[in-house]
Amino acid sequence: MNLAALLLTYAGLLALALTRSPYRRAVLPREPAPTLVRLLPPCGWLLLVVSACLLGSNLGWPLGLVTWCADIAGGGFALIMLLAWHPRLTPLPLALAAGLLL
Amino acid sequence: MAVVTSPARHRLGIAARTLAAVAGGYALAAFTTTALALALRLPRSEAVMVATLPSFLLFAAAVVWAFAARTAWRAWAGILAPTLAAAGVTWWLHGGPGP
Amino acid sequence: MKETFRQSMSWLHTWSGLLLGWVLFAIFVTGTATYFRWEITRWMQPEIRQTGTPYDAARAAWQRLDSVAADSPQWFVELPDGRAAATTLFWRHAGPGRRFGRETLDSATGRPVVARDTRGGEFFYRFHFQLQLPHPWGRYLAGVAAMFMFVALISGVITHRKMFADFFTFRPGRAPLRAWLDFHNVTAVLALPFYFMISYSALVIFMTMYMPWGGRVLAESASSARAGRPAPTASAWVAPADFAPMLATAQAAWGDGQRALKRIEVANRGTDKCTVTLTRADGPKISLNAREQLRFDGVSGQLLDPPVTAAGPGTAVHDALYGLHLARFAGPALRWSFFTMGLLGSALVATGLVMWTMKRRARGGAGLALVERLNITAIAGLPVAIAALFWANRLLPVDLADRGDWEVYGFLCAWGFMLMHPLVRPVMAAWHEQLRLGAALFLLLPLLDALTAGPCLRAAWQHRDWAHLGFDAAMLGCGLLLHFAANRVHRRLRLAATAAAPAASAGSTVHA
Repeated sequence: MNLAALLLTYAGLLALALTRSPYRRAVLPREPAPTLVRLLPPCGWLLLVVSACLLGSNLGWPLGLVTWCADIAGGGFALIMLLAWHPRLTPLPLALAAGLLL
Repeated sequence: MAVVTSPARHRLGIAARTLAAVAGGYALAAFTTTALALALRLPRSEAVMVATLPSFLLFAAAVVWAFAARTAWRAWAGILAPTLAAAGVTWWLHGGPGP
Repeated sequence: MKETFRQSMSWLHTWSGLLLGWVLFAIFVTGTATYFRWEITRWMQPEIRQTGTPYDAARAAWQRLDSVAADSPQWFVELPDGRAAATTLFWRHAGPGRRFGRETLDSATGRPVVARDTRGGEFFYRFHFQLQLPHPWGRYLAGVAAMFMFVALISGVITHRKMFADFFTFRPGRAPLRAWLDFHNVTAVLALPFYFMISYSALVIFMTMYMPWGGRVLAESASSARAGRPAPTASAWVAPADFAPMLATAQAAWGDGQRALKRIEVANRGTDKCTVTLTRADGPKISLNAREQLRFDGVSGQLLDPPVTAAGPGTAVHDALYGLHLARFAGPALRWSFFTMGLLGSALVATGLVMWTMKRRARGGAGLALVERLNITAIAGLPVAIAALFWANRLLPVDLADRGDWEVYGFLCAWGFMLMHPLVRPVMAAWHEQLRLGAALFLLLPLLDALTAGPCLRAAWQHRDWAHLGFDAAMLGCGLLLHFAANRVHRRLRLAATAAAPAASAGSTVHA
């Protein structure tokens, strides 16, 4: 459950990063439709809120929010390092998780 | 930082601000703590907690003010005035001018 | 005013970050290590293995204290809990003054451990806020460093205007200064709540030392009430109650699992005011005061009602900040997250220190030369010193007198050498050599562990003792990190050499 929240945080941050066109060019094979791009910021924030709620309901709000901040730091650092050196691999953690789930 | 023409005056300004930030800021934080602790009329340990917890925030604010104020004089005045006020409140609540 | 608010805050950020930056870096690194304080102790005393429940260990500890500290007025016992393997006893010596005895027990035999003497993870914990300085100066210096950090954080946030727009910006390919600034910003923004929490709570933890005045004025007001307390009188020894029923009560309440009995404190032994307090292992509650306790009357053995504490909001905030700083509530995953944020904080301080020199390298000067050398000692030298501590732990003779102190001398000597070394070497070469040395020492540490503590390592593998194995893995990780840093410096060195060589040959042809 806590791992799911970490992945949601990562996905939310990735969506927020993709709102900027240089990262879209680096990560995605081609530019997505403008409507999709416009949906990215609300999606990103929604994912972050959902992960916070998940942690809050699972661990209680004090510990949940502390864990959420830690997830943003850890997930965000991993994302930024991947964006800088291997941008194509940024969706990999999510793909791995989806693969394990299926 | 006030930029003044001569480097000597510039250095003097920085020294004055640094003194205001460190000594003045600490005095402000300390006297505010004592004034708050006495004014709150809470159980002793709780009064100490409530009065001391925000003191470091105030100290930091004083440091920021000391280096942001337009002149070194203003930096000193802006810290000294509330410090004296807090010291006055402390003295008043801690026995005051006597019976 | 010619300079803007932001410019003056940038100035404040630069200098508040620099002046105690080296101290701050050392505090950050040792504090980060302290998250794994017990695991470090386990690796540094690989002979000790936990067996049995904490209740067995408690019985053994009680027996031991009955024989070595029968007339003591105060006992403390820390029990093994899956993280700490040994039982630690403290007792206050009878008579005037505050003198304490200390012993470490093997939880299996209940006898003093037959293990190498070491400070273990306690060294990092103590160094984190005392800096190996005489009391109370280390604590004051650490407090000043925390205040500098807090000011640097505030002024840094004001200076860095595009905080969220730049959230993901890290361009390692750009000009060095730009890339370093990016990395500085990234490490800052990612864990910003952590930095604010850690620096403010550091001040709060020792606030009675740093800001004692609130207590002073109130103590004077309340001193009349205090004066009425009767002085303790030397009366006849009152025999304490039997311990076994108290232990049974605790076991019934808390069970044998992860969160069993952790701490025993016996106060006022030998008087009719004697109390026995049993404390449960830390749970997932943040506040340090949320510990579950059972208090017994030490003479009758009766369970006492929990003390009524009128905890107001101020006390609650204080206890929450204290708990957050220590992060005892964190399970393994969250502890690793805190460890990562500690590393990010160390990187934040280190990049700030290096950037100060990068901006001024063109200008030169005595100040630059000093800062450049101190940076090498603090950033690249500290890992070497820490590695030296671990090497000393494995290489010093096991029966050496004051062995734990010698390990610390090894740490200090290594750091001293790292202070001298940049004086006789060019700056970039000194960076490269110290990083390379640190990388080699950390990367070889698991090998040294296998050679000098092979049976313990094998036993750790058989018992799935992740503390020992995880420590070796973490050392490999630290070594790799230093190795990559050394590689980057080496690339810069080679580039500078190839750039300088044609220039030199061109110059010589002109002169010829």
